[in-house]
Amino acid sequence: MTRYICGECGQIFELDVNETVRCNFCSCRYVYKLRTKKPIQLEAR
Amino acid sequence: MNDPGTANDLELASPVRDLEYKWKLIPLYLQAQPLIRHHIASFNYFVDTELKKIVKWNGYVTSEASSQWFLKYLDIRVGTPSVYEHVDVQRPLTPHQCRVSDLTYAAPIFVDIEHYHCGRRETVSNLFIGYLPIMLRSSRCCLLQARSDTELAERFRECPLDPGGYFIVRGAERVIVIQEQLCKNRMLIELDSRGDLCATVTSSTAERKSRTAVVYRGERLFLRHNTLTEDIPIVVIFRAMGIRSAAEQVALISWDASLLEPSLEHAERLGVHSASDALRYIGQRLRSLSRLYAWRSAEIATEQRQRRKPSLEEEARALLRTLVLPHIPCDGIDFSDKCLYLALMIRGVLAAKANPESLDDKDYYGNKRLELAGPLLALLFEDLFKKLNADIRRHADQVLAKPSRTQDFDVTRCIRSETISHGFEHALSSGNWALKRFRMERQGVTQVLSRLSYVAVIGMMSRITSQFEKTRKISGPRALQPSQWGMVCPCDTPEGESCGLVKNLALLADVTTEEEDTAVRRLVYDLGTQDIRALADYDLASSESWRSASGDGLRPAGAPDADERPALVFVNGLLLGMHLHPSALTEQLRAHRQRGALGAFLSIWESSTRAWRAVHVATDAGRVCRPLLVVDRERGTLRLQRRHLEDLELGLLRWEDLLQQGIVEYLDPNEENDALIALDIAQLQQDDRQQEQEQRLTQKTNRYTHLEISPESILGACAGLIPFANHNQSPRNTYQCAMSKQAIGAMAYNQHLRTDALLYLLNYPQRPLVQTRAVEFTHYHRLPGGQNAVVAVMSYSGYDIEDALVVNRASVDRGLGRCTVLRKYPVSLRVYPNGTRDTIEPAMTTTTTTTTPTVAYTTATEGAPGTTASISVTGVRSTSGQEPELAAERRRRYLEQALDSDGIVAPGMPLPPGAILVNKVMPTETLHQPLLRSGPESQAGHSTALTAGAAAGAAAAAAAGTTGTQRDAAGSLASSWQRSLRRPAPAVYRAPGGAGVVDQVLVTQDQNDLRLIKVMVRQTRRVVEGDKYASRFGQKGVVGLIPPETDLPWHGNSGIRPDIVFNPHGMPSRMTVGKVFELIAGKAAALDGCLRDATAFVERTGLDSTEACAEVLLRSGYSYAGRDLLYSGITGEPLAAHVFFGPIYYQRLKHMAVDKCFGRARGPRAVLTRQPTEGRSRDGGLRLGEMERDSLLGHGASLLVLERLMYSSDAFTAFVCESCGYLGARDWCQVCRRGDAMQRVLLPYACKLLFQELQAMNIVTKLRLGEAA
Repeated sequence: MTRYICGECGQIFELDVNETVRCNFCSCRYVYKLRTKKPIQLEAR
Repeated sequence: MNDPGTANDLELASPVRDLEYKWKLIPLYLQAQPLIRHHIASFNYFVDTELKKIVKWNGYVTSEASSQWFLKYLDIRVGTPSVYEHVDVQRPLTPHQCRVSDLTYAAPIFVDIEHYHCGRRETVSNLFIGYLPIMLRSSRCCLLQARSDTELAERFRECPLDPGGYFIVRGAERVIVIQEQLCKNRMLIELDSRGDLCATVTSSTAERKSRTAVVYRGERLFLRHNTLTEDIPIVVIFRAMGIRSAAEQVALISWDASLLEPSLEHAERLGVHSASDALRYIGQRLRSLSRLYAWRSAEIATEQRQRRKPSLEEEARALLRTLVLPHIPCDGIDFSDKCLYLALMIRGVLAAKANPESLDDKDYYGNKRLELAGPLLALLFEDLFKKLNADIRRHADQVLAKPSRTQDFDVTRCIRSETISHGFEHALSSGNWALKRFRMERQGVTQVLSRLSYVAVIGMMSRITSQFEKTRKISGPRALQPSQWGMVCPCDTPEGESCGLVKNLALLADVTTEEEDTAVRRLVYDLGTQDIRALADYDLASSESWRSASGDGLRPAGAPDADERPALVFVNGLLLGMHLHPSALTEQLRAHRQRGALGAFLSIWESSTRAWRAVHVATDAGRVCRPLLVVDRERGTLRLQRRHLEDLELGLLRWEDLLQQGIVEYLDPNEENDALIALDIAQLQQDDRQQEQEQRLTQKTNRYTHLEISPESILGACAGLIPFANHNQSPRNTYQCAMSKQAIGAMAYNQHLRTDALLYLLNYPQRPLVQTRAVEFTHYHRLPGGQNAVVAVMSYSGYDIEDALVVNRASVDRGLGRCTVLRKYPVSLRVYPNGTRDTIEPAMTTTTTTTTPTVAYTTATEGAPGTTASISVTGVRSTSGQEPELAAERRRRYLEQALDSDGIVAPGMPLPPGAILVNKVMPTETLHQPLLRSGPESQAGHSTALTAGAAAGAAAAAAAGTTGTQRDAAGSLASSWQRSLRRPAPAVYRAPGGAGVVDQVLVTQDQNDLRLIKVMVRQTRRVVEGDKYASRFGQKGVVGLIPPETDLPWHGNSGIRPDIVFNPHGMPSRMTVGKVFELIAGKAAALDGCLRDATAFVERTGLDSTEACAEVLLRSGYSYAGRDLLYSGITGEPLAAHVFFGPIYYQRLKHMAVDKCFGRARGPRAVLTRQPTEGRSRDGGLRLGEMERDSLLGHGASLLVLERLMYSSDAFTAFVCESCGYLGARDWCQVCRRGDAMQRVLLPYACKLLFQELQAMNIVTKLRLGEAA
């Protein structure tokens, strides 16, 4: 289960692969994946 | 700095000193009606009025099968944008949701109906019949609910500066581009294709369109119509319409009778004497198709129509009634109005014959109409609505014809909403308006809104395209017409084939929407117009207007003054009557309009041609018009007073108030001809002084009637952004208009929320130091597209020839021109007809057991070159000594490195080229039921997507839920079996410029409730050699060199080093003097911190004047002329010459070297010819063309030619039979039936193909073989 953030209200929740995409708090239909927790190293240019 | 409230840098907030500040009306105007007001007004009119009209016209359906049954539409209305969640549950939509989830921003259409049901009349209200796509910011758009910009941004996630006026169809923003057309229902005197004089009218009514012409050929007059097989003598038409005697006809036309004689004689010779003769004559010359059509559309009772075949006469009469000049109402068989109009057309032709210069100018902008979203959608809706009703009728016929029915026929259950919904969606998303009913076949009506930059959006919304063929090399329609002054931007047009055919509206130009003309008609009569029906032919003929211009065409010396001549009165092209004092009539009508009694967009003008004098009133849609300040006729002074401007400052006055008080009014090109418009106040005051003198001499003088609001308003939104535009060579401004649309900058305030397919953003955009008023009108300063770069106008290094720029490396390090490229990678999880569906699986390499899909992946990625190369570069594939399986595993791990446990990349992860973004897996069999299925899946069946989704979901869950931790034996068996029926179909990251970073991952559901994943990948790009830059003067160039800052010259006093070195050779031939001015003004602005105004055509006063700027330079220790002492960065010595040095606004254009750079060693080949493919997008080869070949031959390097053109391209070993010369197999010639004479020959495959193709055409090609040298 991956965690997603609601596109409208910002609520964080989990979403199953086959579940309908829908925020349980504001019934918004689009969600964003949360940023990775892995340490990221970027090359500054 | 970006806050508009504090933007007092320009004079927007300074106190009003005098009427010179009248330009402040422009922001007021634009505030009341934003830049794209015409689109919205037109759409609103369609939704509020036209829809109801269409339903009223077509709102009654009956069935042949039952005389009782009927369906009557009572009313129609459009809701707010929403989508049906379930039955009766609607979910409101916002534009942002639609963009993100690929939905259509559409609102349901509801109707109230009355129908026959269960033996009685029944009314049903709010019946849903389909979705109508809604224009953003129109009256139905939800964005209107927002009371402030903040609310717009926070609640709707919408950019407050977004102009709206477009549609969102399946997530794509589409604009209905304004279409320019020739005016409908108006008479035009022109030459036809044979060079004959003719008067043509393109009639267009709600029911039909047709074109009628009166042609003057060989001294005789004919009527031409596309439903007639040949031209009909006009006298025959008159007779058919019931005007029998020649005298009557001559009186009606009342022109020099001698010109009519040949026509009259011709009719006599044809033997057409009576009305029935004439009708029969016409009836014999009807095209067969139109026969039926005319008869049907004539309102003749149904039974009558069915009973007998119509006679020739009846058909001809029906034609005259309905198809000839259909815009003129015809009551029964009373053709008098049509006769009069025909007579007018004849007069027009005859008058033009006397004076060939009086032909109408088709390119005159008063003869043009702009077709906007409203009328186009209305046509579409009418077509769809008729289709819906036809479907209902057919259904009713079927059901009601059955002798016994189990249920009573209920019309509410057989309305298919898809007809309308899909019809709209399809037309808008494809841009094809193919309406057979209206014989309309137009393509490219809608275009995708270009979202490259904010300017591109604004530019697109004001674009006008015309219907002319692009290939025709005629200059007329392309040329700038004087009547386009203030209506169409003189600068903003593309170069090349569509030059002059695609135009842009000027800043203040507006397009009218239709207005009801009943009030005007009443008023026209009330003001003393005599009804045309009340006038006897004799009156008409003898009236002064008709006589004075007739005969020799010269007005007799003693003829009364023009004002005294009576005039015909036309309303929307229809002849209403005659008025004895036309100038009084126009004056009164205009007074009514200025008082607000008539619509503001009403246009009243007089015309005086040789044929007649006329007063025209127009209320139709699509006229371009613009606001002007009214000069009081009596006093000769401006109605706008200083106090108005002061009130305006305080916010006490609205635009509508100015209209109501008659301070400003709209004029269209036709009415502009009646007006004398002063360019500035000085001109007006000068006029006053002159007048006093002249008034003593003569009574009548030319007096100004209007004053321009501000001269820069003749430019459009794009051209208005050019500083000092009036100082530049004209084509430079045109180039800049095209280029500003490619500039990278900020696109919208919600640019990071929107999921655009490709988005270029400047990391550090700046507003220009030297700006125009239009910059603030269009809010360009809030979403700018460039940076103020310090420019040294000098030569440097030799890498600056041919417009190349030298860019300071340190400036690039500090962020000059740095930009972000965002790319969208959408993945849709489909459900297939057999119930299977796409799934996403976790990264393969995290599970240790399965290896089979890995193999599949290897094959999948091998087809894509580049990947392998880049991987070997990064060293992951240094697997020479390893087991191949292990190597594949490592490679796989490398490609999956950014994947999360759910099989989708996580935001923030860096991506190497070729990395997997979404690990999608597709079923191999999508159409038919797989032979073997386990228990739960067998239920899936061939059902609809939704139900199948649920069932197949279970199977997919089993497949997808394999994180490697909890899997029992049976499950693993089932899932591995499942896998064998699936193949990987991953979304792979591939973009020019190499590595990227995942910006955001959006998961949503599309229109069909399928899961949609949009991965946005971000790249940050520095400026590199080869990137394109342009200043605001059409001066484009590529970056030629990026030297270290230490090598660049520095400024003697301040130590400043330039960001950009610009070669002075770019200046003399281009004559962009504005650039010189910008440098001076920009330098002063940078030094004293006040932005400078550079509006075109405006006298620069105060700080903005060049002198004042130069003073600032002097005071700050710089050279007065802007030319400063620089020291060489290389030698440290002062440069021999003073260098012109200062900030110029530079735009980075979207063309970047990374996106273009390309080369290949080996790669794909075309299947047919086996030669390398062409083009970068296909990873094609680089062509060694004819000229290259010639030069190689010239050098005698023929072996190199052979290598390039054959060995490296499409070498092929063929076998040729020595005896017959044909191609054959290795050891067999099918022609000679033997195999001993075959020879091996190496030749290009394309050559072999040519021989075979020639053979297929029965052309023998024989190869004669010799010894190889």
